[in-house]
Amino acid sequence: MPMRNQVSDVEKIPQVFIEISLEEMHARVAEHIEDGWRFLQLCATTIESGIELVYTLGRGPEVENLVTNIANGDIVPSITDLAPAAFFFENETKELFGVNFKGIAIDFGGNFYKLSEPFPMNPDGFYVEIPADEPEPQVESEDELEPKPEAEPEAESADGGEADE
Amino acid sequence: MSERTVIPFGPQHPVLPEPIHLDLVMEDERVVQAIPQLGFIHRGLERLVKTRDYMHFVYVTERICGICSFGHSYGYSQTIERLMGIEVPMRAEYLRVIWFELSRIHSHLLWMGLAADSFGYENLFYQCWRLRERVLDIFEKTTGGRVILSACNVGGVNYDIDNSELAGISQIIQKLKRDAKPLIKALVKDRSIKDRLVGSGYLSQEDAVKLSIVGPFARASGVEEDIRMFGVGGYGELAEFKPQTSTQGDNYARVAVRCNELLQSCDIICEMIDKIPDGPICEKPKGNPPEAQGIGRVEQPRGEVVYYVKGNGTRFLERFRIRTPTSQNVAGMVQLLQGCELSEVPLNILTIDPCISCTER
Repeated sequence: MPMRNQVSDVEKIPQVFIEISLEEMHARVAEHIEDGWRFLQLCATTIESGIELVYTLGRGPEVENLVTNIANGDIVPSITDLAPAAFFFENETKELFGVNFKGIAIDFGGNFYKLSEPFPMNPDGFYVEIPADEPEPQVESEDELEPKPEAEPEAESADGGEADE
Repeated sequence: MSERTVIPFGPQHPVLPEPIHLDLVMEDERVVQAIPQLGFIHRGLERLVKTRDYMHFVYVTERICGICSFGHSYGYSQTIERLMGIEVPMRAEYLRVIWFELSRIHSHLLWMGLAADSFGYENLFYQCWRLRERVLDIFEKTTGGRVILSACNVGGVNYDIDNSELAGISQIIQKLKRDAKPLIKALVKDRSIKDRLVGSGYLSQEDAVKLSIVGPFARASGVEEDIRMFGVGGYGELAEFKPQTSTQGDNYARVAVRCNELLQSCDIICEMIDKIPDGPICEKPKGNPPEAQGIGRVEQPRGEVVYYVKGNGTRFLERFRIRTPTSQNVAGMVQLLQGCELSEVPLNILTIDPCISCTER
């Protein structure tokens, strides 16, 4: 049987998985980009404790995966300021898994794929309100968020009524 | 400042074989912002991994896209093999490269035809697609399918090709290369085509790197990266491989890079046929994918595709994900469109060769 080249495929494209905390993620991605790595992909997987996020970066044949586990409802800083191509993945992950990204360059607001069911890959997912200035988010359930657009006109009409009186 | 208007572009448009919508924010004839909108054909195929055996899932990956069909089964199989430590027989690796490069030829010819049609060169369009039929005939003869081949599997390939038949394929490819040259000459030398392409849709090398652009789109801006150059699988047996690049970064460079890649693929196929060893074509996998995760990368016709798999010890994978070239290149496309004239928009989109089926999976 013919022999293969002496260097195996595993050595030709080396890959590592490194677990880090969510707080470190943005800074670690920034370090990589600074060192000449480029963003390859972002993948979310539903796990028992919430969601596992894998940020894959590549430099030539090397691949490094930064892995972090988050709980449903956690706010994840967007990396689109470092890697603009991530806007696609963050919008997709937001819609399929209910991951709350803060500061996506082009944010479709959960209307990227326009799915018929919310968060099909993570039924326990939910959106939280992301305040622009306050660092601590106020968690709201999905049911409370949905009727909001209808509630606003009612409030306006009530104000208008008072003004008339 | 001129009054701004929004022009909807797509999802149905003559230069778009697949649906993508763009809101073009215009100031007079100039685009100041392009907002993409996807989701017309999202199928959620990644989710099927939880209900399909990992061996059967190869056939799902093939159905992600008609043009990149073989490439997806190849990339998925390679990733699972790496995860499970399967060593694929060399003959299978050679056959995979042959089918994969044939896919690249037919994809580039298809794109060249679409590009020619968009310039108004209908005869050139027909010529490119007529040439492409020869590749589809080879697919049909060797696998029985013209679009979905079902040739690649975890551990090797499903079909062998006789050495005598391989010699015939080599002759067909050499003739195809000769016949493609006049078409390529028309695309890269014709004055009116050059007038439309040279200098339009420019993307600098710096922006291509910053935006993580991949494939011919990146190589046309001087990014010398092609996964085939790392020599994984059968590509490690090539005497030499050099990515086709250009430093011009415009629409013309993207056409020229694809034309050169087409000729290069013909050479790769002929070299593989000359060197193919005898032996088995499949190593049957034993057991299930372990509780581990892995990444695979292949160079599809449109650029690098990243496959992520996560096993859980059962015959069903925990997670499977495909990062396609277009999902990277959409950011570059948005950048290209900013500041261009409305008349340049169709060509700027077309020269990226977007594949929406792959992207929306």
